[in-house]
Amino acid sequence: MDLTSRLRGCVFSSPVGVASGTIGYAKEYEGLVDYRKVGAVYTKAITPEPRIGNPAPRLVETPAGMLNSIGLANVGVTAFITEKMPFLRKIPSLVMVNVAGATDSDYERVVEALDGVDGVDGFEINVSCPNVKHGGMALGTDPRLVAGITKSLRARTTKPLILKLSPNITDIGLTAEAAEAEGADAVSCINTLVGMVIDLKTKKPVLPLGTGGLSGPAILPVAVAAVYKVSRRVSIPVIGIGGITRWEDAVQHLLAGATSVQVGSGTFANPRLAQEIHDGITEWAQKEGLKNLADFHAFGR
Amino acid sequence: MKQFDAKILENRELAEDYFEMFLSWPQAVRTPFPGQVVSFWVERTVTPFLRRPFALASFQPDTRVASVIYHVRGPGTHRMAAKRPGEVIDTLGPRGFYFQPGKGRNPILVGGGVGTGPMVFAANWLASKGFRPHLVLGYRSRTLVPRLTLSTTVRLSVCTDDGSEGFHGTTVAFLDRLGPGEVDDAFVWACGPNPMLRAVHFWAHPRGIPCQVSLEEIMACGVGACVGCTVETTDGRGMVRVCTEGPVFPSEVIRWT
Repeated sequence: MDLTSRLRGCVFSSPVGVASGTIGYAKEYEGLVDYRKVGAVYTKAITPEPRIGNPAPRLVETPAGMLNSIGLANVGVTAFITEKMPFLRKIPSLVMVNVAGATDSDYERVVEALDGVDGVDGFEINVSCPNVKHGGMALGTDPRLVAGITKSLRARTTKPLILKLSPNITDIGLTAEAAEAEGADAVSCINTLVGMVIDLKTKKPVLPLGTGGLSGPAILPVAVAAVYKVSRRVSIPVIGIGGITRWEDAVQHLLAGATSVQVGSGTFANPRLAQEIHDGITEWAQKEGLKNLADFHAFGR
Repeated sequence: MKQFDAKILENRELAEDYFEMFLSWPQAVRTPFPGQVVSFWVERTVTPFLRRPFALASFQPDTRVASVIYHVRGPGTHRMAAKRPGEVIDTLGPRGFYFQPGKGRNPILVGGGVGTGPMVFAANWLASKGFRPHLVLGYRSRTLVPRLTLSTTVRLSVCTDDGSEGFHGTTVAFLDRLGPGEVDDAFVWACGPNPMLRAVHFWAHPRGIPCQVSLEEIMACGVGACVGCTVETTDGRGMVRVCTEGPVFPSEVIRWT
């Protein structure tokens, strides 16, 4: 059995990755996450300059999940290279840098700065962050803008280019197609869903910006449906994200058409989640007699 | 920091809806200090979804027994209160910057509500180091005042908002009444609701009394990855993580709002 996959020559040794924003810069989970069983680490979103992020509170727990409004807090690309890459280079997982910005030029600057950096294996382009006023989700809900940013970044790197898609859109197939048409190597779906919690005492939203991004088991069926849809609209690999807290959830993503998965906020509750899911998928594939990831996809076709 | 199964040794009610859970602390896990935090994955449920962070309330180095004092107020703590000795609880920790003595030989420790645990740990720890701490604890009413196990050299003063036990008023109103002899060579450590911590800071700071506070924020990961538990500082660091740069801070670096 071989559950590895490839993207532009990069080998994902495990179909399980850890999602951007939930693993920091990987060092935070040193000794807790077994990176030998993590195919790829998707870093915290990186912007050209450091960002302090949104005011507190940034989190609120919800039924079967949580809302976050971190606001792309990160160290900026320069400090990322000097302070965060040394550890990322040491782990066996691929390092996919999640890239964010307010303008096209922000994305271009980050990719240009990181393209030649040793240890950076590829880019996941965050056109779907619901927690910033500019860029982010506004970009990711317009297929023409997704096409434009994909084209511009494709011209700047020969490394894997993954577009992380927003579910806050009527037809996620359109943004996926736009990314594929302009040379994206894969799409990740989905980013968080827009959500709100209102405090009955103050009668106002708990989060300072009103809304935040919903993650956790609550979004599993939404994510599986998106993966199913997108994998039938594009021929590039689909990376399934959303609601995975058990290996069975990850298998659903793979059966829906994903070539690999990312575990997200489930790691917060259980730092061992990625390795448990890696082991669970492997055992299930063995039991079912599946030989590779394509065998998972054969059922739905 | 490690993720480990801690065996529950005892889970007893200290006051109305306040419990103390005693845990066996494995040899392989580092010795915790007052102010440090653990988080529990109480059960493998989807709701509640996240771990629950608590500052430790005690650690016995000889028996390697640790405890947390918690207030039953939501689904996570309800499930904790239902746990019985012999069960295990998925624990992540110990974590964070802890209280450390600096200048001063006269500790005044101020705790309110769920801030009781770390202040009890701090008081007993300081007593074991030869200090004679004054532990000032505040509650709404006498039914919430926990029965605590304190070293004989700890002086306890209880304050209640309704005057049903001890001093009638807040912990800071109590501090205001301390005589000069009682605040000589003092340092203050505090944990509790933010308004109390703010008031303690503005009591200690003008008097030149060094003050450290342990902050509480909602946390998702508890290890520094999610950047959800941030607090604004005045020392040029901007927003810092309570779980990583804290939870204990010198009170003057916090931007009190």
